[in-house]
Order: sequence, then structure tokens, then C-alpha cells
Amino acid sequence: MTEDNDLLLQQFFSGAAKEQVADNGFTERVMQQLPSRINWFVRLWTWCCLAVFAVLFVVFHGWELLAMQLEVFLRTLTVESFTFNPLVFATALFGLLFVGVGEVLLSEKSTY
Amino acid sequence: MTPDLSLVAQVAVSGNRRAFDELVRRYQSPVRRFFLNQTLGDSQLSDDLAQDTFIKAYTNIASFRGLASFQTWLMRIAYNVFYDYTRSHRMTEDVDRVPEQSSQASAALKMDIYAALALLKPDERTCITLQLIDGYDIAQIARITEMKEGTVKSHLSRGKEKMANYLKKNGYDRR
Repeated sequence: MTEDNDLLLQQFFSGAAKEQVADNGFTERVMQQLPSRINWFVRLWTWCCLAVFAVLFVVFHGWELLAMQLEVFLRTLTVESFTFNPLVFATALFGLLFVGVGEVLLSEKSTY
Repeated sequence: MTPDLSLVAQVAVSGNRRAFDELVRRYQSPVRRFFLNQTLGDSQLSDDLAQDTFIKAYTNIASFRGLASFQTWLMRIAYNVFYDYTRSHRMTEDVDRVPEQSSQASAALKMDIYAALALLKPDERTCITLQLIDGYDIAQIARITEMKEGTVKSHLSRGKEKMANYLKKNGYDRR
């Protein structure tokens, strides 16, 4: 009985299943309506990160730290052993934190 | 033909609009057909909802992880768009209006299809059309609609019974 019904329904819908909907300008209309993918939230977050970076760079005399790091790097360039530098580690962690938070905020906006 | 994943990557990474244009051309037919079946042939509403679907796909394309095919992911968005539409417009479950036809070709059969689909509840209609017209299996329908597979099976079973009864009453089993 169920198999008979399935066969009947498959026959009934067979035409509809093969039917293709003609484009008729649909794609062009969609492309005209597409928004800019860089939304205001991403822009705001980028500017916030830049502002925080600029403030911290001035407060902690970032140019001195950079010069010092460069000097240390150049002096130890020939030394092959790896040394753990807390300052470099903290900088990398700080950067990743900002990138990570941005990603999380963006993923919360997308629901699909 | 460029694979879907390659086109998606081009859109997600560099915002390549040509790549997205190709994806829209490739999938406009199944998406619009899905909405035509859910709205019982309302072509204007179907095109509006399909457009909304592609815009959402574009803005959220970075969230496509490739776990399912691009088409399944797109159909899930389409289902959510339709679900949101029905919720906001409080579409009644027992749709009893006669659908309008814009084309004369195969109009009688289309009228019959939409009349038969109008007998179904929205969830039954979605499951039935996804399986019998769009060719998805139960697991894919469950993924698109976020229903449990058992629920999909129940909707399919009830929907098929209603449809078969309608077809038999209208003599389709004797053709």
C-alpha cells in the first residue's frame, strides 16, 4: 500500500522534479542588491584596535621597546639556541586576543 | 566547471562578486522552485524570498565550513528565510486559496500540484517537496530543517498519505 502510494507520488511529481526555473534576470537583480561585505561593525572594531594600539604604543614608549628588541635580535642572531622572551609572548598573546575577540563577535552575527 | 568550494573561497576571501554571480546562476533554480512550492506558486513572493536567501548567503558566506554541500547549506538558509517569513506574516496552516498561474504551459498539472500541496501543513509540505521534487534524502532534509530524522519521517508519512488520498480521489491512480 505504502509502496503504491510512493510510486503514485513519484509519478505525480516527476514533471515538477525535472523542471528548471528560467533565470529571466533574477541573478542580475540579486547582484544589484548585494550589500558591501565590510559592515560598520568590522570597521568600528578595526579602528578600536588601532586606537588601543596607538595609545599603548605612546604610553609604554613602544619605539624604545622596538629598538631594544631589534638590538637584542641582531646581537643574538648568530646564537642558535631558543630563548623564551615574555615581552614577545605577551605581545603575540595581546594581538591574538584582539583578533580572536573580533572573530567571535563576527561569528555571533552569522546565524547560518 | 569551477567547483562550488573554489567559488565560495573566492567570495569569502576576496569578496569576488563574479564568483558569487556564478553561484547564484547555478542555484537560483532549486532555490526559487523550493519557494514556489512552499508559497503554492506565488512567483513574486518566491523571487523576493529567494533574493533574500542569496543576500544572506553572501553576507554569511564566511560561516560556510564545508561540512555539507553548498546547496544543502543554501537550502538551509532558504528554509530559515521561509520560516521567518511565515512566523512574521502568520501564514495560516490550512491554505485554501487557489494559486495563480502566469504561464499556460502545463498549467493544469501545476494547479493540481499546488492544490495537493495546499492540503498539507507547512512542515509536511516542506519535507514532501524536498524529498519528492528536490530529491533530498531524510538525513539531508533533517539537516536543512534542523528537525530530527524521526520527525521528518513522520511528516513524510502523514504528508504522503494525504497526497495519495487526494490523487486517488482525483483519478490519478487510473491514469
